[in-house]
Amino acid sequence: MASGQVPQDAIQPLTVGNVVTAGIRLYRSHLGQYLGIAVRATLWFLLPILGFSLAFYLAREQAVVIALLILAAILAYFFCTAKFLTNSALISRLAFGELINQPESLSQARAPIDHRLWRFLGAAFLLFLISFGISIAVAIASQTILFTITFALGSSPSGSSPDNLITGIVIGLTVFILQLISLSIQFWLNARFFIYDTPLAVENDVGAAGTISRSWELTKGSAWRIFLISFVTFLVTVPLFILILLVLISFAVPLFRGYVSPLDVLPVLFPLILGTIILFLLGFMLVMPLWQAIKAVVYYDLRSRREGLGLQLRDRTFE
Amino acid sequence: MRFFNRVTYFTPESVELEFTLAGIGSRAFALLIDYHILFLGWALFITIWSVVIGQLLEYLDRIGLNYSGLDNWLAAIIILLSFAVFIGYFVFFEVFWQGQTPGKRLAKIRVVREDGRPVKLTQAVLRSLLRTIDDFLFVGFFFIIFGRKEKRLGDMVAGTIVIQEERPAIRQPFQLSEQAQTIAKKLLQSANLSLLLPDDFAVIREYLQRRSIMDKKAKSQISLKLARQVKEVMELENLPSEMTPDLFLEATYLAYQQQFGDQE
Repeated sequence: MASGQVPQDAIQPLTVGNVVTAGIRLYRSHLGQYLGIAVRATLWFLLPILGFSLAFYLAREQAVVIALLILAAILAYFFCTAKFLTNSALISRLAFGELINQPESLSQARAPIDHRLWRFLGAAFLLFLISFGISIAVAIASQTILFTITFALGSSPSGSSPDNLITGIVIGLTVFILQLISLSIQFWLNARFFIYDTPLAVENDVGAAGTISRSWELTKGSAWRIFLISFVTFLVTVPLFILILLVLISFAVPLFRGYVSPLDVLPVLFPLILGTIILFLLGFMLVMPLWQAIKAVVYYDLRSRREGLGLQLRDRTFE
Repeated sequence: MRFFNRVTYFTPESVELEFTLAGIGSRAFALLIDYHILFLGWALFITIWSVVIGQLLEYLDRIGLNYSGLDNWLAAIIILLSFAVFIGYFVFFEVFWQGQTPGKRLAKIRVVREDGRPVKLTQAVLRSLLRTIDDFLFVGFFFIIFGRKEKRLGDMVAGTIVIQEERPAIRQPFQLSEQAQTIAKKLLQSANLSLLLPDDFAVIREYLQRRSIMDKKAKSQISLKLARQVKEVMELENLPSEMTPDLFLEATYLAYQQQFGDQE
């Protein structure tokens, strides 16, 4: 190490690229463990879909059974989603443990996470409500602005030809700018709530609402950095999906070859769609641990920057 | 655990140089920025080219020349020029900025030869020529992730590595309050500063540097914790006067500096 640098105990803030590298490194070194958890998570996710499809098919005659099954399906859906979320969060917790040099074993990490099962569901639901609310607000606001400008310029919003070129340009420009703004707001929100489940996974005494506000508070001022980190992570996962697409195309093209009318294709379509779904599920399963690891690294980096995590005198006589 | 690969090189003079390799994340980030800049530059180039060619064709029309084969020639020229711009961007910057393109500069990484010497034209050209395979067929991506020295095809051919920039030892200056000096003098007399290790001094300095970007509540917690730990280590029974943890840490910093000098 160069002289004058802080000893390894005190944690340094990371650059954008280094966050992604660290995340990938974490995933690589714990590939088996994280993938195993991801498989469990995906299975939990699939369970209600497959199980209840089968049940509905078998009970397709009896109406009462169907009604009961619908009820059971709704409840099972919530439970299985919660299970999926806890498994995802487990990966983040394990990754964070590695980062602060206090690794936990799988069973050690699983215990507190499973204990907070319903809080994870609550947090996800809250996040959904918040995002939904903001999307609606943004949509209403942008449409209002658009209508106001359109009326002010004298043309009608139904799309009849504008009076002159200037009006058309102004309206077109307004639409473009409004789209840009709502997209930016979307990205910014994604960045601010990026680590919404990590505090719940790692810290004690955090509730469903608490973890969301913690994510909000920790990401203050770092939204742009987090956006860049997500973008680079996404780029890194692109080769995998291109590979999947290539596999699909190499199967689909010869299959479609001798068919003339769309109707002939139908019997072939179903296995193809099934294949696509399975392949994308596989892709998602492979990629999910990376995102969870990256979230753990971002959380660690933010805590070290904003809260001086790990900034302490070298351990000698005190714990 | 080690997150970043290290490469050690022994010079002929038996000096050991150690580099930290850049890692796929920083390289992907640098590439992202570079391609954006490159694309904008190329778009500008194409626009200017189209205007020029438009004028040229108009002129040829006016003098009535038959230019039926010209389209193919123009297409060939523009493809070659685009390729030249693509390669040229990377070559130019890597040669003139000591192995950094704008993207690499933002990502704080650098291309160097395996022995740490700066890259010359040969290496830069070889690296860039192989970009067509490395970047567009994602072959380089896999080589970087799984290689020991994180070399993509271009690196292997040109004998280069991409390393992280060492942060300079010059620290950012930070503010110290005036009372800290007076308290430091008292500490020099009353406290046993030699019990503090240089590492502890570094941690205190790190805190003082980073406290401005810290969250208020966390900052007060950390300063209290650090101050308590420092007090215990120095076996200081009572503080000379009433002071905040921050002030105590500043005073300790100054006192240590005065007694032992700032070992950079």
